[in-house]
Amino acid sequence: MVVFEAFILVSLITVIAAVLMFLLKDVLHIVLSLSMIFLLNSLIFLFMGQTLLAAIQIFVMIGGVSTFLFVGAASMQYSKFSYSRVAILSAMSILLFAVIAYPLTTMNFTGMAQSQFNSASIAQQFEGSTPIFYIMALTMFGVCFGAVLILRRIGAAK
Amino acid sequence: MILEIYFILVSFALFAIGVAGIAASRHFLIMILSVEVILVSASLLGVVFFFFNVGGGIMLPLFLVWTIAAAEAIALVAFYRYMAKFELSLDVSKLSKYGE
Repeated sequence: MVVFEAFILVSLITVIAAVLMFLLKDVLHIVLSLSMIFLLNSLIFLFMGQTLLAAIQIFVMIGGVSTFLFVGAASMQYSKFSYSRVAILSAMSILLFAVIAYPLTTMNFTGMAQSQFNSASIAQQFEGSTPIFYIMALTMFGVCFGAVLILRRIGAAK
Repeated sequence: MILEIYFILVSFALFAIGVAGIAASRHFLIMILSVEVILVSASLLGVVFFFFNVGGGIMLPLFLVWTIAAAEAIALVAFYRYMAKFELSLDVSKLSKYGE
């Protein structure tokens, strides 16, 4: 029962951190709240029993993406305004949540058939998908490199 | 034991907040970070469905989500630094005049 209460607490803090993103004005605080969402999401993975995925989530999202966002965006302290319309945000998010969660009322959830992903099945899952991973990574690298080139060109023209 | 519906509800809540955040915000940075929230909810929902119902085979979509999130962060910082350097407004409703 303690685990369930801890899960409820973590879930509530996750949602609160997501809402805070639109209420805070400082860029540093906004990125900090997004990093909190990443961290709590990895905790939710732990509640599901997926320890390996939680570790990968921390490595990729906290160690990589959040650090990059902190260094790149939040260090400049450029913008300090909040343009989120809170009334529209709250009304629309509650309405959208109700619409997409309504079909769940007719479903049965038994909590059965839970499987755990472990390191032994990594090779099995990666087998045959390696070219797709490479194509994906190269495409993303090309997109990022192209974005930087285009921005440099725009900046030079200006 | 925690039923999967609770994880699904958390994922739906994050997704709703992310989508509403894009619609309700005019700040460039907040809009992009809302997409990150949507990606987090997508990864959570994918893990829930694969491990509670289908089983196995989650690595490819999960790595796809993480790759998109990382690439989006890089593009975001590139745009952000560019806009900060040239003192462009981060209000997306004012960006249309720069294309003219």
